Amino acid sequence: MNDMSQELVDPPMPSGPGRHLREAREAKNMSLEEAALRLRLHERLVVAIEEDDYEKLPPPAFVIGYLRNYARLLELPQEEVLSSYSGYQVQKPELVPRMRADREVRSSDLFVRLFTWLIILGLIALPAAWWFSQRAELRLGGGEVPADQQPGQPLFPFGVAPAAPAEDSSMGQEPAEMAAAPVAEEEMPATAQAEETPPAETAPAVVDAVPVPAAPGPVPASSGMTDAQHPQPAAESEARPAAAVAAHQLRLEFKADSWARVTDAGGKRLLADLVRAGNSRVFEGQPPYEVTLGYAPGVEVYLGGKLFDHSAFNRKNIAKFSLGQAAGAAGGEGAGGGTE
Amino acid sequence: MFGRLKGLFSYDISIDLGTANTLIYVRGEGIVLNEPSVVAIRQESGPNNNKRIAAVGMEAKRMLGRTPGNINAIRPMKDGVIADFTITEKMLQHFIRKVHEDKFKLLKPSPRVLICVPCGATQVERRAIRESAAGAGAREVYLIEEPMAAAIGAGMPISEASGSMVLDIGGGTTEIAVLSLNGIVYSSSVRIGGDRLDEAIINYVRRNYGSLIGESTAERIKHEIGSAYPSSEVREIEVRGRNLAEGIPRSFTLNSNEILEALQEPLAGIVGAVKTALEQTPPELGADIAERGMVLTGGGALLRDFDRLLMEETGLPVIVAEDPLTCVARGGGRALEMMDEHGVDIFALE
Repeated sequence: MNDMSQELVDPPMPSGPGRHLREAREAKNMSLEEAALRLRLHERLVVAIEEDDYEKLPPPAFVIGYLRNYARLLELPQEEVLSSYSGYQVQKPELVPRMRADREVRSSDLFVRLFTWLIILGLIALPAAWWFSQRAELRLGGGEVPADQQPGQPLFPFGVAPAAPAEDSSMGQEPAEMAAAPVAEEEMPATAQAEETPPAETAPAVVDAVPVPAAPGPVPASSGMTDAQHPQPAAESEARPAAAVAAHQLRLEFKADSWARVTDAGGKRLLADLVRAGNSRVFEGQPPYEVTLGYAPGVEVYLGGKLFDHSAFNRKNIAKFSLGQAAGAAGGEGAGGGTE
Repeated sequence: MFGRLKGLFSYDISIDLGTANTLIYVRGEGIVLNEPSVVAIRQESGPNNNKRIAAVGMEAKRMLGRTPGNINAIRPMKDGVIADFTITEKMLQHFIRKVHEDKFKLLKPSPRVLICVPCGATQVERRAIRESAAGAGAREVYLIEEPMAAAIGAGMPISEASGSMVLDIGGGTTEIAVLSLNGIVYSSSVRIGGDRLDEAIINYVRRNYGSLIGESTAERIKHEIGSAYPSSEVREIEVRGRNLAEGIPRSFTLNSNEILEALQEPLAGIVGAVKTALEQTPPELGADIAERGMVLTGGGALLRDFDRLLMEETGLPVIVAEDPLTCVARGGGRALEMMDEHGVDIFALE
């Protein structure tokens, strides 16, 4: 059956060198065994050569060599034998190993490099973020106020300030309240100057009465829009000469940038903010005031118009003290200095 | 980036930097240069004693042994490795420029180069070859071991998990290697090659004829009547050499049997190396080799009946590769193409 199919396949193929070689061998009375021995080939391979069965033979490079050797053995012209072989289109061996796995990921690959850079940037950014948050917390004196006042963030002129923190704070209620507070405070001098009589409860009243987001609006309106828009230098200079200074009026003069927090007796936060050098803040709340200064040497504290020396409370430039009526001139219980 | 730009104006070439001949294969164009590795240097008269390249390649080879005092024709490669670094660099530079001459005239060529090195070459020798090519203007230099390139060039199925043995007989060295799965399983390099055969012929003639012949003559004798195995047909050649006793050039006739005798010693060295290689080959691969046979490449494979000698000595089928002289260079070119398609690490390149 196999031989049958072989014979059926053979005719359409161009006659390879096999038949020619077999005839030459038989003409020389050489047996297949002898030919195989002289060629140092397995008989199976010699048979395959004579039958032009190249499937059973090694790649063409070898077959060409075998044919050449066989032709030499039979004293046939080599070129003739080879030319009849080259009629067969046998493919060259594929040099890609089949066991080859997918390409390995290398450090030079684009996405690996991108990923590496991301990690490196992250590693740089994390300590930086930590450092900034530490600094912000230092300024806040370990307070609970969220870091909506990042140092990198520009501080707005006071008239505009409320809007911005309210916008970028993601903390909801509390930052909003904070934003409202500075406004209330800074309007104080203006109000005082305008009416000559310092109403003690104005600021808290305003803050309480007016809904938080609306706070910036109504307040300037009540006290004079122009003053509110360019408040600080004018308000400051006019507030200082005010003759009648209430005994419980607290004034903070900032010679250097400092974070400050002021709470009155009622626990109301009057100030919790970074104040730039050259500004001053005036509060008329209920004494005793709890005062925390982030950078104490840069802040002068006046209570009722008199300079209060807070150097005794300085701990690492942070001062934390209370002052006002109840505790006398210097709040003794507030002597626990800054902790951080 | 600039290198890539320069690459647009240069070929990718594979160089078979041989002791006797240097062949350059250009990707997509085939073998474009086949010249002897010979450089003629002219010593210029003057205060600086400048040396200038007088000729390279074929032209320089014709000068070998025929130069006046101020010209020195030398072969900068010896035993498959660089013997004279500067001259090799100059020679490579000349060849690379020559290859690019017809196509890219304006820019200095900066091709990607794959160079074949003997597997016996030491790290120092490999580095010398690499730097020499870089100095000659190559943009990137890859090294491939000669038997690997020879096997690829001969069309052996080296990526299969079966053993293939290749014997590359070059001018300076004979490389024997057993390859499987695109790698070298065993390799050895003996410093016996065409040059040693020529030397053996010179020595034989001096001993038996009392005459001195030059290297070129010895090479001609080898090409024309040299054989490695006795055959019924005896060929003869008439040569002229200087008779040592008389000091006068004399003519005499040599026959192929004499040359066969002359070549016995170096041939025995090669056969011994082949036997050692077979001894060292792992048994599975050895069985594959015994089934298919080993392949001869390199100029030495053209020595008449060398395959028969090996067949008789080892009892294995031995076949001579198609166009054995250019196998290494062609294989290098193929490796370069494969490298582009499948990455640098497809072959054990350096």
